[in-house]
Amino acid sequence: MEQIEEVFELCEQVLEGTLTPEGKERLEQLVRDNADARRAYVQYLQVHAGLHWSVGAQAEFSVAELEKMAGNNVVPLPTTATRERNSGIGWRIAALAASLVLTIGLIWLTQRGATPGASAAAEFARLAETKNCQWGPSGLPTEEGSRLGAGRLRLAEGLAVIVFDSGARVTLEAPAELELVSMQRCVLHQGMLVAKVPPAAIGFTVETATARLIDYGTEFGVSAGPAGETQVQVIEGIVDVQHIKSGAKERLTAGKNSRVSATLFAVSEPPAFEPQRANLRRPAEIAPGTVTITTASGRGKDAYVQTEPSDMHGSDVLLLVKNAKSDSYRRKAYLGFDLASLDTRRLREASLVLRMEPSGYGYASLTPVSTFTVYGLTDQSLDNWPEAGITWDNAPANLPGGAEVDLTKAVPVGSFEVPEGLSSGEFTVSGPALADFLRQDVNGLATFILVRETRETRPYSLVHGFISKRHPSGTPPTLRLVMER
Amino acid sequence: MIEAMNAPDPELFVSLLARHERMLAAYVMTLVPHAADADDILQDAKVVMWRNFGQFRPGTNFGAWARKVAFHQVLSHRKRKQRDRLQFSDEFLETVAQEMENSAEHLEQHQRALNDCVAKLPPDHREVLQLRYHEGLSIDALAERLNRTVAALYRQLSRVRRNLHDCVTRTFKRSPSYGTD
Repeated sequence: MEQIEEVFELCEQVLEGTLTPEGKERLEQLVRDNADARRAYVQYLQVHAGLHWSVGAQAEFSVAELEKMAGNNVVPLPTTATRERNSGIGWRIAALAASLVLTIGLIWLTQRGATPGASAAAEFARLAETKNCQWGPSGLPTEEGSRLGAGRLRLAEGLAVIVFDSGARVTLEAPAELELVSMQRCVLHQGMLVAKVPPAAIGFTVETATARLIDYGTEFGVSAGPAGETQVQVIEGIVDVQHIKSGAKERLTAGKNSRVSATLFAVSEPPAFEPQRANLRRPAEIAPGTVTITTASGRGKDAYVQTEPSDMHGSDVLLLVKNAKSDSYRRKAYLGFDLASLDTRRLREASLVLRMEPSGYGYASLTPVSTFTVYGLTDQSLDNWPEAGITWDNAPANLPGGAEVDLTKAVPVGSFEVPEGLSSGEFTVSGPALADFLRQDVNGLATFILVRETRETRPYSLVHGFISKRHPSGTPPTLRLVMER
Repeated sequence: MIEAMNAPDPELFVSLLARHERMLAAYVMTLVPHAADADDILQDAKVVMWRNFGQFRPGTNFGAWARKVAFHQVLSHRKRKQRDRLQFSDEFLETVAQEMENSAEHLEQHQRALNDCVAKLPPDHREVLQLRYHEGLSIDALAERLNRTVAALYRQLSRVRRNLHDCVTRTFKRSPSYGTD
């Protein structure tokens, strides 16, 4: 019996590569001389082998591969084998069949029903979809369709859809950092995501630094700021929110929101606040061009107007634009350019450049491709609107609708589209209509109105933010003008 | 039954191999516990088996034939690869191979019993196995990942394997025909 115990110990050393030459001698002796030791050795190694082959090795078997390898490496049988070369198409089919059978060995991996996700399989999710994605340094593959295991995804730009093997579907919005833990758990270190959890994945958990969200078959959005401040919006179904620090738990149902930080745990009902996150500033771009004028030049100005203005959903540095479904939170931007130093009759070409950056409000994944229209204010008597005092009600040519403009006082000069999933980037409007409008200028001031044509289809949709002249680092709205000499 | 054929029948080969592959893999790894080497040897053995499948008489014991091929590959692999790693003597390998041959009819059932025994493990034990066998983490990496000491992990892995060994043996003793269809 002692000898058997000794065999087990030596087996462990064999498996972990720590067997000494003396240990090897001893083991060989035991196995040679003692039938029980021999049996114990084989059975112990069989456990190790079974573990390796059922979970470890990709025991994939492709005859095509075998054929390829067959040339060099392999020592043939020592007997009088008759070589039958078989070039074969039937082979590939057969190989496939063989590789299928090998999945039998994996059975126990899927037999973890009692405690799903308790032991993390190497790969448990798939990067199902990517839209306009740019990735930061990431230990995980970022190619669409890749299988994902534990690790972090850093999304710099775009939308990425991750489908967990449990069935939970997470849409991650840049900029964001998400850590995948298991098929039932992930950690949002920063950024925003929308999770859709089918009944099969009930219990799916999203954690931030301050909150734990346990899903009961639903759709919800969550955002996490750099200090862990968390906001949750339940779009459908039920989510339990737990304040990690205090352990306090609240059940949220559709339409309810929660804000969580290290010290705060609050649940509110509609009127919902818009999902928001800490703004991220981008470095300035240097605008090339013949003559460039920004809203910061001379008497230039820019502002946005909003129905039911509130300090809560404003921005000091961005021009917010949104075509909200409801009367509240509709927003349009006004841009004024000082053209006094220019002889606009010599204008040949013109373009208007706008730079968007994440506003921190709303989910890009709940927002379709959005079309924006730029109007030029033709009633030049209204060009003197006050940058600080402009409101929804006194804004020139403004009409109540989310995208409507009084066409007796303004003309459309161009439009652009913001692809789905994009919350930053540079957008340009150019063409004869814009140049024509500018050539009509008589008072040295030109006013543009920026509206979003595409109406919000779902609540919590993205608020687009364009860099204003008050932005600390970004380039404000810019006119690039090519003049005749 | 099936008539011996001049040209090897790929479908027959594949179905036989599929039925015996797990046993064969365990056989090879018991002789060569080092994972990468065992993988190579098994792959080579499959090639040789296919190349020489014409010799195999349908209706005879495919498992025994396959083990013979595999054992030969183990020996030649050792000769080709003169490693600094400790190598068991040929005599030792032959003894171990003979032991497996004697209990060949049980090898398959042992592997099935192992499946069930793994399923009964507590989650943290399964996790260690996952990380070690599936992700192929070294003990050092494993220790770091689980925030434990290397010594603690050696102990735990050893305990888990020992539990599995005991569980398989127990299961098998209770019902020697375990898992047969």
